[in-house]
Amino acid sequence: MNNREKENNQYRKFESLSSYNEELSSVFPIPYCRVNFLGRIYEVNKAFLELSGYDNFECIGTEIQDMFLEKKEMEDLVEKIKTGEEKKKKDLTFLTKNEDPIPVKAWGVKLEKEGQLKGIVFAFTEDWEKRKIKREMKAKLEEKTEKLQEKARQMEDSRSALLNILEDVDQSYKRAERERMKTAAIIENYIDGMFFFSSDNSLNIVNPKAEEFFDIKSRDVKGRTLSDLVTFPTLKPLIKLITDDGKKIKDIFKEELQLGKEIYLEVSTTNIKEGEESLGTLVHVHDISREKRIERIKSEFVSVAAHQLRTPLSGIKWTLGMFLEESSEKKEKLDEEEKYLIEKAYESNERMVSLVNDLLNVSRIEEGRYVYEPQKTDILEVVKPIAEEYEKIIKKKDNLEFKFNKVKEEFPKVEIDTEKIGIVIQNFLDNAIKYTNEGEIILTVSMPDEENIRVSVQDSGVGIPEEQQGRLFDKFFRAENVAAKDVRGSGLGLFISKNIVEAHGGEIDFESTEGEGSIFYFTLPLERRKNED
Amino acid sequence: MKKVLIIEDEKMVRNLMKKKLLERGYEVEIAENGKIGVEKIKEFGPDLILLDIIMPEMNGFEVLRAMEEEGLSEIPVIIISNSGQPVEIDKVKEFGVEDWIIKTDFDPKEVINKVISEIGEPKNNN
Repeated sequence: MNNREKENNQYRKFESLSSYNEELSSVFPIPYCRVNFLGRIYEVNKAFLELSGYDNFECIGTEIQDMFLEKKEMEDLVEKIKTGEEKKKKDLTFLTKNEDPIPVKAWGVKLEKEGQLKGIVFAFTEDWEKRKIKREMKAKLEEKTEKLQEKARQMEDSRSALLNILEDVDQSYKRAERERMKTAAIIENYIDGMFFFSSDNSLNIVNPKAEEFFDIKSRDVKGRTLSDLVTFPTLKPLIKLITDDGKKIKDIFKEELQLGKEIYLEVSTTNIKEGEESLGTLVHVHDISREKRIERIKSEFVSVAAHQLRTPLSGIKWTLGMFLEESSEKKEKLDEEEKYLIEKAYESNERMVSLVNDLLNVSRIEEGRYVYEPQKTDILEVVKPIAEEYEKIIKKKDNLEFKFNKVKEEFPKVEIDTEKIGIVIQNFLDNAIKYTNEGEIILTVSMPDEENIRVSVQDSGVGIPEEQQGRLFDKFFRAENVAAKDVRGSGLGLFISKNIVEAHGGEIDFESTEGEGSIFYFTLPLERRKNED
Repeated sequence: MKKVLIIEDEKMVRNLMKKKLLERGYEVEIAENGKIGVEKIKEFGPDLILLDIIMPEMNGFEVLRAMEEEGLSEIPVIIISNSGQPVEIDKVKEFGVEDWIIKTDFDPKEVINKVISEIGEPKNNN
């Protein structure tokens, strides 16, 4: 080999060394770079590019300190390496192109050639520990962020839920308001008068009808207490009616209140409760002037009708009565036939009289004005005279016997309207006589228990068909088996009797078998139960 | 002699009562309506008045009111009327009158008994 060949070989060797170097640096996993004495980068390896995110051209010529967060420190490091004071590692933070901070250790070695500074080689190792912590921090941060976002989402959800609730509340409020308006309109336009007192007895609501009835203005009376209101002359009668002492409203139901000559009101109070709590009292005032007027007109009519019907009957009664009486007392005797005819006419007239009386009584019962005047009475005082009177009547009939059967000689006194109870007993006996041809009629006074007195009339008459027994106390009802025969009756007696007995708080009933006879009875309580009037 | 005034528009009842009371020995005056009745009360000065309610000219209630105004309320009154609603009975009670006889429910004899129990026998001056 000659020199030329040697040189070529060496050159080749040299060339291959350079490419070897290049290859080596490209696969070298640790980022490194060379900087000149001014600190400018003039060579980087592939790992450096990967770490930094810059490309080769961007790197070349850049001052190395610009790639670090701690620029000053890097500058110092470069100076120190140059002067040889320091050549080893330093913890720094590398900034990538994306400005991603990466903690690294920078290893710097001074390059010299023949005693002259050529530059510095920097190698960077990542600070894995720090990076790990950073990553964890980042992960944690992300996790926290995620959580925060979740929280934020939840809050957003709650916010919209809250808004929905508010909207619902608003709607309910509007609905409630509409209901309130509706209620207020009803109260305003209600045909009856209304007052509402709160639980502290102050007047809360007055409707226009109530203002009209009592000639007051809502603004003058609202909010006032009972003791204030009683000083209003037009309200005084009402306050007196609904309170005992002027302080507290009592329970009343349909009590009448007369205001003017022709104005009648019906007043009721109702305690308004919500659950157990009392909200106040409603005073309801209903105008019954018209009913009262009609009632008065009806009463006047009945009175005139009674007069008109009874006047001719009383004329007949008194005239015939006089004939019969004089014929027995004086000499001018009627012959048998005349006497018989006059007696029959008198009896017919009496039946007419009792029919008119029944009709008038029914009319009073229906008006609710069949007035009772109860007095503590010995029942025998009522029954005995009736028993004596009917004994005479029944004795005149052949095949018929009368028995008066009092279980005791003395009975406790009972509160009764003697005249009306007498009507019931007479009704029972009249029926028994009418519907019994033979056998016996037994009038009994007894006490079925300690608390009741019982009066019964038993007969051995035609009885009542079973299917008609349920209607016996109906007005104008007459059983078929007697209605068909020519036995007189109005169908009113038992209706009236039932009303009388029930008005005394007693009970009326019967047992009957068609063809065998009936027993009619009523019981009267010695002590009236309180809620019965 | 006890004096009885009958104020009654119905002739038959009026005359029959008069006949019965006269037979019994009372002194009797009659009036066919309330208006004449009030005058007769003043003229005749009866011990008892039998008074009908429904009458022309002046009814029984008006007679009672007139008697009250004239200061004649002390004279006892028995109402003889075929009406007899509870309200009417209450109305005469306000004038202090307790007896109300429904004509169809009484015989003339029973009316006489009422009169006797009210003012006694005709010749008894107590």
